[in-house]
Amino acid sequence: MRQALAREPYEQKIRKVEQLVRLAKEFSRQRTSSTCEINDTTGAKEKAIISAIRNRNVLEFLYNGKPRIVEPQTYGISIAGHPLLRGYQRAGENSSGQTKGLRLFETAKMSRLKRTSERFTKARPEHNPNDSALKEVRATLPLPEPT
Amino acid sequence: MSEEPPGIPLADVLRAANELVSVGLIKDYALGGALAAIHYVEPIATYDADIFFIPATEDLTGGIPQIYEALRARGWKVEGDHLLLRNFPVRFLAAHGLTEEAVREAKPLNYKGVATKLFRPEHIIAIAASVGRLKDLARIEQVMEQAEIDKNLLETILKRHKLFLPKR
Repeated sequence: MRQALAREPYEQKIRKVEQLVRLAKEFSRQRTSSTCEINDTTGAKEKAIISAIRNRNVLEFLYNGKPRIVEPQTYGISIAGHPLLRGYQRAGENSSGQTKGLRLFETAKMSRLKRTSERFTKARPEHNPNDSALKEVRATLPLPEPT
Repeated sequence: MSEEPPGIPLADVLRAANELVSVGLIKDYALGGALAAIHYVEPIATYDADIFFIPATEDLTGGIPQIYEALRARGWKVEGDHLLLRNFPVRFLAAHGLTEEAVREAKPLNYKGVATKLFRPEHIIAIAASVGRLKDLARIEQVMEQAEIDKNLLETILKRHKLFLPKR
């Protein structure tokens, strides 16, 4: 499928890029009344992320300008000293074109962070509370109980 | 000015870049960044165009003030480090080293009747390897997977610029 898309004529692909951009802008405009937008300071973002982990709230934000919907799993400080969120991306987009999966997000690159009222039930099966990308864990979900 | 609907006015961007070459404000240029990568891979959302140019002058500004002035005279607006054509952001980036080589060896393309050039996939990969952000690593993977790559050329470019691809 992706190979087939790659082989489409360039002009056709540019039209699809325009559609993607329009969708992304529309997506970022959508707000529910129960959604709380956080201001863009590091402290405010950290507080919101930790609170979202504790309450299992889904987060919405722009990352490198692209919209993401994420279930936060672990928040902490990277080996290089940057605040990072390990989260399961449910929807949105990234530069590789993959929409879903566990990803690392630098909080400095997040904008328009919102803690939604939508809640998820538990950590992802692949969740690791002792995330090797983090030298200091400030909040994390408990491991999911084996089914 | 344009037959294109609101969106990405790429033909007009390229036409303007061609005019900059014609009037001698830049020596040469090629389309780089995501819009060049999209020529070889599936469509991805991108919010600006990167035009890499070889400056006509050797001063430190690379002729950027004159380029901005010429484009403003054609109705473009300036916002931060972007020029806006009908609200679509475009960056004019002075090419040097690897990017200059990418401009010189760029692939000719006709886009909606406008003759232009865009970076070859091998240079897109090498430039992404040289920058090395997460999104660049993702771009390398995507181009390697979806584009037809001349592996010998890629290897030569990487070797020449002492670059390495991330381990997959």
